[in-house]
Order: sequence, then structure tokens, then C-alpha cells
Amino acid sequence: MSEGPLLQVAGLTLTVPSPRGPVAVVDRVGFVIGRGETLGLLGESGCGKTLTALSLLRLLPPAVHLAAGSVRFDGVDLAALPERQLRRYRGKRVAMVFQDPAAALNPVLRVGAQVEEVLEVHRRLSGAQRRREVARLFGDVGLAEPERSARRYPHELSGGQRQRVLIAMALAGEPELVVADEPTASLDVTVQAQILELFRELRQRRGLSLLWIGHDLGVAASLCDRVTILYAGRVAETGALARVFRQPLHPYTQGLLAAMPLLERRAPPKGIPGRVPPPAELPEGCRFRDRCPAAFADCASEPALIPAPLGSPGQAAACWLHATRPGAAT
Amino acid sequence: MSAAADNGWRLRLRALEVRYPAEQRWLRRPRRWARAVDGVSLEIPAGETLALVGESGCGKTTLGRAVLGLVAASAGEIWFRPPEAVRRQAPGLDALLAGRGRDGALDLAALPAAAWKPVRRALGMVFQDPSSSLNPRMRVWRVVAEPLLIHRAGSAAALRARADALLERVGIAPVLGERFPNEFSGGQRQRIGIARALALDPALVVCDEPVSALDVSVKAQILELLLDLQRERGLSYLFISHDLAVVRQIAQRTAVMYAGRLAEVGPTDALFAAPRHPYTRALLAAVPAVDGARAGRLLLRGEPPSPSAPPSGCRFHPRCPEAFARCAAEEPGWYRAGEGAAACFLAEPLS
Repeated sequence: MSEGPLLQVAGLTLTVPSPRGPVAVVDRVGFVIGRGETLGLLGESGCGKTLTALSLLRLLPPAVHLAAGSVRFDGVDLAALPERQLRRYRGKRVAMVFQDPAAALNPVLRVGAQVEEVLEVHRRLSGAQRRREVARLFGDVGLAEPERSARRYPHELSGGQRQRVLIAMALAGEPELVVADEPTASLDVTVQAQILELFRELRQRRGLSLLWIGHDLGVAASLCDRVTILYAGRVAETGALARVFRQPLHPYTQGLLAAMPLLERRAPPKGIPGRVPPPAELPEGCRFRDRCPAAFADCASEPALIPAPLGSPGQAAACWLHATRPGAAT
Repeated sequence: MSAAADNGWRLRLRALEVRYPAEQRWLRRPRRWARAVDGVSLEIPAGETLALVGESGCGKTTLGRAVLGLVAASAGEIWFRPPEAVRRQAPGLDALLAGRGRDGALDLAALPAAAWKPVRRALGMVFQDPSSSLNPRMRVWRVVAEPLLIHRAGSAAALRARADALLERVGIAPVLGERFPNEFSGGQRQRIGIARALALDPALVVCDEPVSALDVSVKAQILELLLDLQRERGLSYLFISHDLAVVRQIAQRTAVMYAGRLAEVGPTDALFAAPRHPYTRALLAAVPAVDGARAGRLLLRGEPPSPSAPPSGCRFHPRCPEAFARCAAEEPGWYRAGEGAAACFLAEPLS
């Protein structure tokens, strides 16, 4: 194991074909996850968060092309690794939990057998060992009566229980990094709270690193150390969670936070006018500028990720408003 | 006289029950029934919003569908009182009220299917998923005009003009009326769905998770639109949702539903500030906050029961952190709780 961050993604660019040539739906996205750290990759539908997650283990749909970038996991660039060697990482050192637990499980196999499959491939355990390990994993993820649960079919379980099975399956390979793509989006709030608690617990117990993909800022706040906000395929802002949520720099992050309805008080949320541009209609320069209340002439050219001028280590926004101007720093 | 009626309630449910056969036996009576809605009483004042909140399977959607006559009520009453303006517009409604009405209201639960048509135009519905609720092969101006066509409300040119006006009102440029639903984003499609729901000038609109499928930045836009339209037209909303933060923004009153029954009802602000039923408290505590304040507090164990085998006594007692012996044995009645009411022994006044 080498020193340094566990995962380092740089310049990740994913393209889809269009009549006018390839369009970058994920455009030079980069982020870092330290060992034991949880990073939230957040944004609205179409921002590229799920494609980014899938590209880490090269699970992209056929139409999407990994055009550039590196995915360094523990020092090894997974993007450049031959398929055979990548299999030693996929599901083993890096595991995924998907959004829809009903679609991610095989409906005609008992759930225990599906977890055993992972143990067979990645850990070469014998039959009896596998069954013991499944029971242990099911106990770990909070499934009542682990042995009995293992004999059930997916349709006999509730949504929350199915999600626990998927998490057990992800943990079966003893991964160092878990990529979780909105695993609570289809669950009720009280069940969501249970699953979030489980993630917090697992992180502590196993020292897991977590890449949390999501659109719900409240959920991210209860789990993440740092966040990266995506808009239309590009990083808009990144930084420590408390910094970004309390003092957002990018007008998009500010708009997103203002648009969130609050439980505490009746304060009509303000929507962001317009909509996320579809890939074929992306504007030149800053991709947010058509919806941005603060847009000005500079926005016609693309902003780089500009670090916050004062304090806030690691907080940066891709916005010209934060480019250092004479007299801005004190 | 009629003005006073207009200011009263628009919808009043009395002990509404909707049940489905849980175990169907061919040509025989079902052995068990699942009560999706089990004895719910509530009221929506004219021009106000009542939010019905709860988790999946609690019966909130079934209740909404029963109000619209899309599923039959098995027992109980659904009183709907149309305002004067709607009575003038809907042919046949006055005759219906004269025949079956009581105090200017109709019991929809007792209305035979053949008599529904004049009532239906006074009721609107906005669905959760704007992509599956709009006909993909119909140009959107026709999607919006279709209810008018069905109720023969005007000439072809008048229909188009009305559809254009509705589209414009919900923020869709009328020139886009020639396009098909798939050419619009999720938020725009929901606007089109709202325009369609308003086509016949309803008095009561049932909104079933109208913003749940939308992104945050768009969600807020649609909520603003719904609030504006309510102010403009004096609409009453039955707003069905699992999202408590959204409900906080839009509803004057909130009813919390659990396993087919109401757990707590009250003015939204009071109910959110001081929830009395342990289920309401748990539900509120489970909503993740941006500042992380509520994270991990008051975690409920387990999941809601199946409606075909509800627990004895209070339906929440197996999951309730404060349950005691009486909760399993006896069903709690309604007790005053702050400005509202809760179905919980803990809210019972000490005698």
C-alpha cells in the first residue's frame, strides 16, 4: 500500500456521440478521496455524477466513451489498466452500491447465494465458509435472523432490507473504497435514516473510504467530510462540507442551497430559473451562465477552478467572481 | 348564504375506508381484507392546502384516488362542496346537488358512476411522474385541451386559445404547444400536467407527490407555481407527499398517516414545531438537515406493517420507542394535542 490519497481522479472526460461530433458530458472532472474519508459527489440529474461513478471501474454504457483522464487508485491508474487486471479491483478493492436495489438483485436467486458469488470469485472460500461469512455480513448490515434472511428471494424482502443485502454484497470483497450511487433515493425517510446510520457505522468500524453520489444535500450533510458539486458535467465547487454548505462560493451552489425547502421554517424556496442545458445546447464558457444571477462579460470564457482567496483550505469554485482582483485580498 | 358556504370546507371525509381483498379465492368471498385506508376523517377548507404525509404503503395515494372516484370507498363519506362559480359552469351539477345534495355538498362515496361526470370537472389531479402521465403521442396543446374536449367546452378555435392561455399561465410559451411531451424537461412536463389539471377550472386539486421526481432547483419553481395558482383561483389542494420539507412550505394544515390511519392532524407550523405523536416526531427527526443537526437522532427500528395484517391496538406500537402495555391492547382515540389532535395515549389529558 502506498502513501497518499486512496483515489485520485484527474481530467476525467467522458463523451457521447452527437451529430456535431462528440460532446463531453463529463468534462475534465477531478477529485481526491483520502483514506477513511467520505466525499460527496453532488448535483442534479444530468450533471454527470452517475457516469463519473461508473467510469471509475469502467462500467460505462457502450455509447459513453472515456476520452481522457486518469483514475489513480492506491497509485495504480485504473483507466489505463487492461480488463483482466481491472477485475482484481472491481468488486474486490472497489465496490459499488446502486440506487435501485430491486433492479440490482437477481430475482430468481436467493439473496444469500448472490452474496456467496462474490465470496467465491474474490475470496475463494469453501461452501461452508461462504455460508458462515454471509451470515456474518448480514448480521453486520443489520439484517435480522441472518441465516433465514439468506434463504429469501429478493421479492420477499422490503426495499430497506434489499438495500442492506446490496451493502453486504459490496462489503463481501472487503473493499477499501465503496462507491454508493444514491443508495437511499428510493427509500422512505425512516428507512433512509437507518441506512445512513449503517454507512456511518461501517465507515467507523472498517475504516472504509466512501464516494457518495447524490442529489440530496441534506443526506450528504449527514455523511460527507468533503463535497464536490457538479453542474452540467463540470466541477462547480469543491471543499470541506461545512465550508461549502455554510459559505458557498459558486452562484450555482448558492442557488441549490436556497432552492432547498427547509423543515425548520416556512420560507418559500427560490428556484433557479431555467433548466440544466441538455448536452447538445451547452453554452460556451461557463455552463451555468445562462441561469446565473451574477453572470457578467467574463463568463463567456471558461473559468478554471479558482481557490477561495481567504482561509478555507481546499475550497475552490469554478467562477470568475472569485478570481483574485486587485484589492480583493486583505 | 352561498358566500358563507364558499368560505367553509371544500372537502370533508367521514370515517373513510378503502379495502382490497388480500387473499382472493375464486368465486368466493375473500378470506382477508387489506384496509389501505381505515376510518380516516378530515377536512379541507376552501382555498387551503391540506398535506397528507406518510411513508410508502400508508394509504395516502389510495385516499387521494378515492376522493377522485378512481377507487371505490368501501365505507364512510366523502363530502365535496363545489363553489358557486363551479356550479354555474358545470352543467348538471346544480341538478345533481338539488337531487342528492345536502347543504350544497355531495357525498361522492355514494355517487353512482353514471352521475360522476359533472362532478369530475370540478376536481383536478396532478400526478407524480410527468413523463408517464402525459400521452407521448399527443401534442402538448392537445394534452391540455383534452379535458375541455371531453366536456365539450367550446369550439375548436376556442379550445386552442384556452390551451394556449393555460400553457402561458404555467410558464410554457404557447408556440411550444405544437411539440410532444418528450421534447420537454421534467419540470416543464410537470407544468404541462398542471395546465391540464386546471383546464376545467376545478375547485379541488389532488396533487400526488407533484414535485418528488424533480430536481431541487426545479422543485422550488413548481411549488411557487402551485402557490401562485392557489392564490389566484382560490383552489383547495389535497397535497400528498412523503417530503416533509416541501409540505412545510405549501400546506396550512398537515395530516400524518400511518398504516391506513391518521396519527396526527394540525396546523402545519404548530405540528412541525411541537409534534405530539411519536411517529410524527420520528418522521421529522429522520429528515436529514443541511447543517447535519438532526443526524442520527431518534432512529426508528423496523418498517411499517402490511395493511393486510396490521398490529393490534395502536398500529405504530411495535416500532414506537414510547409504547407501553395499553398501546398493544387498545386502540387510541383522538386527543387534543396543541392546536391539533393526535391518536396517542400519551396525548391523553390526565384526569
